[in-house]
Amino acid sequence: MLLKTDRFGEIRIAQEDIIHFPDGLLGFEELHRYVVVERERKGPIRFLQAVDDGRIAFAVTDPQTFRPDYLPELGEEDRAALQYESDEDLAVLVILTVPQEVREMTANLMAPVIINVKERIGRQVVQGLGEYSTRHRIVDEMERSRRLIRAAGAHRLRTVSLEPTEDTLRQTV
Amino acid sequence: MLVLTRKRDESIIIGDEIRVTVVDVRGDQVKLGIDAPRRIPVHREEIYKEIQAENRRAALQAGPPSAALDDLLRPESE
Repeated sequence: MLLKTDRFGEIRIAQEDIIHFPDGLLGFEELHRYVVVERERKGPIRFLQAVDDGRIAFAVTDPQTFRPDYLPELGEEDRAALQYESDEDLAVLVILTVPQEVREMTANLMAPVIINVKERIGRQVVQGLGEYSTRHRIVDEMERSRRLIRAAGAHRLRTVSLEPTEDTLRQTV
Repeated sequence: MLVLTRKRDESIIIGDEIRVTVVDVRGDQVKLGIDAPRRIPVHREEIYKEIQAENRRAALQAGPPSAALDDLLRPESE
């Protein structure tokens, strides 16, 4: 089907690429269908484009890019909504807020978007407790990530795993 | 809105499954204990509002060139 969007103009999307968000995103509860749009020149940033409102698109990225030790937790209601069988079926994206001054770009680690890739179901999952906020400055996170990598390399410490692992999603017991 | 007066250690029951107990009262702070099935999410209201507001900001951005954004996320940048 053809989709008219503000950001990308007219794009062609396949029905099977649509991801269903039964509860929408917070603040956009009425929009239930999204597609992930990649540009021709592939980079770490992709876009979550609403299918039913061409004006709405979110810049998103894999949090592993800047926060190798990010561990979102899923509550029981999240697990039920996502209807997944194995952690391997899940992908994690975080929403980026991009102000005019690009270097001030922030990532929302308090409410990541989790996608069951197999069933194409998505959900924004609230991390209510703990260290994550809605505005992690990317430039700071990249610096922190480089520090972690250097520290791990220099002292051969195994305090953080820098490999993207399958247990990115730690489940609450 | 239904308004009920409760003392410390007293509760209200919502439906069959949710119990809210006043655990402590100090000045203008009230500590609440919530017993609810795990499938029912319980969050502070301000967290929900904050995420809603951040989502709206993220969606309404004017959209600078994406290449500049990509560069910020590359390990070799800076």
